[in-house]
Amino acid sequence: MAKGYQYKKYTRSKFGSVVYFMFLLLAGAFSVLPLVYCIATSFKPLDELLVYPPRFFVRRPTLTNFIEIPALLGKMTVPVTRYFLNSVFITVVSTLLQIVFASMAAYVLSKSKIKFKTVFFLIIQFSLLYNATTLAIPQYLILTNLHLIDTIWVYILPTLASTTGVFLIKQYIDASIPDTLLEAARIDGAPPFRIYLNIVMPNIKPAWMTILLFAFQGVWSVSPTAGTIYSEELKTLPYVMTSVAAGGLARQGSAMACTVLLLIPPVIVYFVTQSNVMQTMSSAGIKE
Amino acid sequence: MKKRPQGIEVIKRRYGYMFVIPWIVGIIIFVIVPLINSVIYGLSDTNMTPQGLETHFIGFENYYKLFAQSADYTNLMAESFSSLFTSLPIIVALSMMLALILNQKFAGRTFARAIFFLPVIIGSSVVMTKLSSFSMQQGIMETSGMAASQTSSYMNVINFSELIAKLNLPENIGKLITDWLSNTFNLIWSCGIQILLFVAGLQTIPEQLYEVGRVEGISKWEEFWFVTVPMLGRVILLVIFYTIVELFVEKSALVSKATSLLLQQDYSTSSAMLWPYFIFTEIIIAIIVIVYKKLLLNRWE
Repeated sequence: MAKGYQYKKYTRSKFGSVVYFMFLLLAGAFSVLPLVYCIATSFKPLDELLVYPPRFFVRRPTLTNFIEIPALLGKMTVPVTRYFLNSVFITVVSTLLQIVFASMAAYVLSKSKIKFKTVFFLIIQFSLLYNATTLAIPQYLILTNLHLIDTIWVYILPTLASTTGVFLIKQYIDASIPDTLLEAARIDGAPPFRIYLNIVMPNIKPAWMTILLFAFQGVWSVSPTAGTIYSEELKTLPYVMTSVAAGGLARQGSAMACTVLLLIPPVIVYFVTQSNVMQTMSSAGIKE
Repeated sequence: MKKRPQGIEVIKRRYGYMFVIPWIVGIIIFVIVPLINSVIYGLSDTNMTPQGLETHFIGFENYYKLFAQSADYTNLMAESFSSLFTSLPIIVALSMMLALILNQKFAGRTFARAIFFLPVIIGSSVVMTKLSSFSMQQGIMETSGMAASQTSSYMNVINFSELIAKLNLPENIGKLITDWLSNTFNLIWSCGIQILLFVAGLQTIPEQLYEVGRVEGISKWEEFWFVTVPMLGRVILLVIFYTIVELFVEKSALVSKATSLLLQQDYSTSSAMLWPYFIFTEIIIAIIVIVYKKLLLNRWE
């Protein structure tokens, strides 16, 4: 019976599917545990926070931690809206500029014949290997020399030199914009900037949506390098979270509640951009 | 002889430069100059003075100190490299398996993908630091728990060791399970981008290839090795590259040691520590890429 039924071979057995999804569930559990713990803790009443050994789940969930936040924040020297506005301003400006700079550079690196193109691309690949901490001190000294310490630019300027963004957008332009399209625009008399704005940008939306996600999550929750920001009114939301947490063990619940609130925007941005991310990543592996 | 570009060509190039300049300036100021400075610090004796950083050229003395005077540095280096060779194959295989499952059609697929991407969304942020520092404070409360919390793995948060202890297993087995769980945990948390790359890669494989396979009557196993893997050739290379960078740069004991020296304002030693390490990393990446291309990619394409 089964022999004649050739197609059988290509549908997985029930048992097989169960094994696969057990594996998926298990791995998924590892992935979400910290977040679940974070959320659970934010709902714990005081006595459960102090219990030893600490429990993973909350027994009697309460909203006290969230309700306490405004009161705790009221005690800060600068109103919390200021931190919030700082965070929003920095995130928006930095993300926007990153997208503009990276896409402009990527467009040229992908489509034009300017000199040093290979040099630039080598620089990109090389600098992917250096992480932020390695460059932090030289960057700090440069910011000092530029007299930018204790200004809002400390947050924004270093993020603009993003190499991942240029790399991903360049790969995407290579794969999705044919030369003939640009040629046609040129013959129709479109000036270069117009071509970039009206032809290239709409066509590479998935690529810049991806950069939007990465840039956003990179900037949103970043704390500045030690020593670059002194003024209270230039600090951002993560600082608020740390200072709530500094209130001691009894404040841990509220600190966790702040964390949960702080996590919401990146998660929303992820769900908005996720289908684009997938599209961009598929062009990343096409050429080196 | 090469003709100099004229007329419209010149204008086109000028626009080209105009488009790259904002980014290039950023790269020069915040990446290239810092890199060069770090080479200089590595070769000199640095002193932080109120007027700024004072450097005094001393040649390779910093390197001599690192390599010849104590075994710490070479040990750290060996540790970083050995952890690379155990983690790399596991991460690549694991993320590929998960991507294969996530690429199938099932209810809640978007949600499932989001879950595996979570580490990327929240992992690098201050939130994660908060999570581990939170567990650290509890660790201090436990008094004896200090050593455990210093491993700074996210596992502290969940406190599996407590759970395992409750099971009344023999001590060795309990420790084995805890280690295994904590490793699995760290590995899965390093898979986010890789899974994404693989799923995206899987979607670019034309369905016809699988159809041909089906007509020819190949098994699932053959289909995987003769269609899926070769078609993912370049994606696998990208994943390997990415994983090495991640493991080397973000999660290595040596880099965190160097960072802690930075915070103590010992710029010269810290820079000197990083350069040989990065050069070795580059060499390893070059070897892997060349071998992979010669042995596998050429055959597949």
